[in-house]
Order: sequence, then structure tokens, then C-alpha cells
Amino acid sequence: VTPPPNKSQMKRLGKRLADGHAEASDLEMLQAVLEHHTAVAVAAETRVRDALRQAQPSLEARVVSRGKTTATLVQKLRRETGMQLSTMQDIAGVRVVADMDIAEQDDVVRLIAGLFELTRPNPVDRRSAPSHGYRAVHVYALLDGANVEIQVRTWLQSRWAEIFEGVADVWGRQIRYGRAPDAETAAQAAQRQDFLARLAATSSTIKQWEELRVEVLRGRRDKLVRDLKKKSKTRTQASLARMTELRLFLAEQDRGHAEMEQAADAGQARLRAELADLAAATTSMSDLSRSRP
Amino acid sequence: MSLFLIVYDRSTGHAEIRQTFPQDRAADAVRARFAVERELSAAPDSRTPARTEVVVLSGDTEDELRRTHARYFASVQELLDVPASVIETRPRAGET
Repeated sequence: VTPPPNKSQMKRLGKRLADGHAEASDLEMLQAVLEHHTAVAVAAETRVRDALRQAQPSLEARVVSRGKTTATLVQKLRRETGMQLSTMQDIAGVRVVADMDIAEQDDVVRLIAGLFELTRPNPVDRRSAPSHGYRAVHVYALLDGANVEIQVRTWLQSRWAEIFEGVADVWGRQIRYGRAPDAETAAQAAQRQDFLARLAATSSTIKQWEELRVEVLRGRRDKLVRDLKKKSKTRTQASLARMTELRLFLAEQDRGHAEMEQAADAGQARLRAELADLAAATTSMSDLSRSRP
Repeated sequence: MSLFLIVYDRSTGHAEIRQTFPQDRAADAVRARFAVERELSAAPDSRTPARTEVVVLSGDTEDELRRTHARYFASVQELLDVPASVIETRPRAGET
């Protein structure tokens, strides 16, 4: 294995890549950087998968790692002022996707953060403050001298991100930073802007639904506890007045829970409708609807 | 656990798993990736490198990749077809 370059070599390499002055020897050096970072990403992936299997065996988490592609690496060096190859956080990346609620996602993030030396204030929570609609939690770790970005996503957060990336593949990756999509005519530009605005709105709907979902699940657990209390108090409370007071209080809690269930049902219906509308809109956009060969 | 060398054409949506490697051969997988990138940069159509993504993904199975990096394997329209079971608040087994 070619040894990876040191920090000052990486800094100079990054500058040449950003300036467009890279030569064949620079690409060999970049290859050595990626060899090291990909091996580190695989090691981090293994550590995360093993820890999740041990701590949360019922969670069906998918764990995959990758080294950053050459094109996106160079684009990032050019796009972000002051960005250096030696300090880039996501040359090595791990992605964790699971069908979990956002409280379980917090548990997974805490578990992962405890597995590594962390490199900056962690985690970075993009669920409540999305980046152009992108929602996830990122943990930034250091392993064998390499920075590793670990993305933790719920199933819906991941699916939204994949849809957005898929659109960016054909309408231009600049849309990921809030810029206008490629378009050949004004009408096409308007149609694409409208689709992107609706997609962004759906990210907000997913956020609201995920927040409601965790409250509903928590509410159900609380209701179970209340039901148990009702049964036990009926048997043990001697005072009729005290029992009536308690029943009124528990009934009020139940009404609150029922309202939350109704709100979650409405949110669920709205999210399904928005996704169906977006899918219907793609039927007139051949670049978004063609089946993969 | 394996490493998968994927060549993905953004303009056509075609993704090909070009080669797979065992977990302990990450360096070989990256060398193969750079060899493909060199091939692409020599392509007659100068737009080819920009529209082609060459990536090495590591996962337990190919199915894991299809779930975490779904855009390589499905159109946007297909990705918007989200299973109803994902958007529901029914309690899971063991919660009732």
C-alpha cells in the first residue's frame, strides 16, 4: 500500500486540484489518500455495525461506507473558500440507515459518538435545521489519522435525500446548494423550480410527521401506564372523591392523546398524498421517470 | 462484507457493479477505481468524466447498497413510491 501523504503534502495537493493544475503524479497521490481513507471508512463501518448489533439487535440498520469520489472532492475544494484537503471531514464516510423513530435515532447517534475520538462539536443535527431540505444527524470522528463523517438517517430522511440527489444528477448538482436547476427553456425552468419547491415542502412534512410519530409512540406508552394505574387504583383507593378526581385527570390525558393520534393520522395522509403528487408529476419528466437499465 | 466498484452514468441512470473485492482489499478496489477514472478521462466525448460517477462502496451485501444508495439503482419516480408501512404509527411488536 502506498503510504498516504502528510498534512503539508495534502494541503499542496488540494490547492493544485482546486486550481485545475493537477498532474499525473498528483492523481497518484490522491489515489494514496483515497486508499487510506477507504480502508479507514471500512474499519469505521465495521466498528459501527458490530456495536449496533450488540447494543440494539432488534434494529435493522443498514451500514455502508465509501471514499469520496474524485469529482465531488474537487468540487468541494473549489466551492468552499478556505477548504483544505487535509482538514476535509468527509473523504471517508459511513452511512447508517434504519427504520427508527427520531428518539431511537438519538440513541444510535449517542452510541456511535461513544465509539470514536470526535473531531469537532458533535453531533451536527440537521433534522431541525435542514440544509436545503436535507435532514440527518452527522457524527465527525477521527480514526487512524483520518477524518470520518458518519451519517445517521431514518428511513424517510434517507429516502428524501436519495430522491433529491437523484434529481440533482439530471438537473445539476448545484441545486443541492439552493441554486437554480439546469433548464433549456423558461417553461422548463419554471416546472423544475416548482417541483423542487414541492420536494422541499415534503421534507418539512416528513419533519413534522417524524416529530408527531415519536410523540404518539411515547403517548401510547404513557397510556399503557395510565391504564395500569386505573386498574390498580380501582382496587386500592378507598376514597370515592379521590378516585373520581383521578379518573377525571386520566380521562383528560386520554383526550390529549386521542388528539395527537388524530394529528398523526392527518400528517400521515398528507405525507402520502404529497409523495403521490410528486410521483405523478414525474410522469411528464422523462429524466426522472425512466427505469434504470 | 465486500467492496463494490460502481460506475454510474448520471445522464442515463445506468449503474454497473464493475467489480467486487473482499473487505481486506480496499487498496485494490481504490486502484481499480482510479484506473476506470483514467479510462473515462481518455474517452472521446469530453463530457463523459463529468457525467460519470465512479465510487467504491463497502457493505455487508449488495442489498445494503440498494437501500442506502438507492439512487444508483432506481429512478426518482420509483424512489417516490414509498411503502405505506414506512409512513405509519402502528405500534411495533412488543409495544402493545
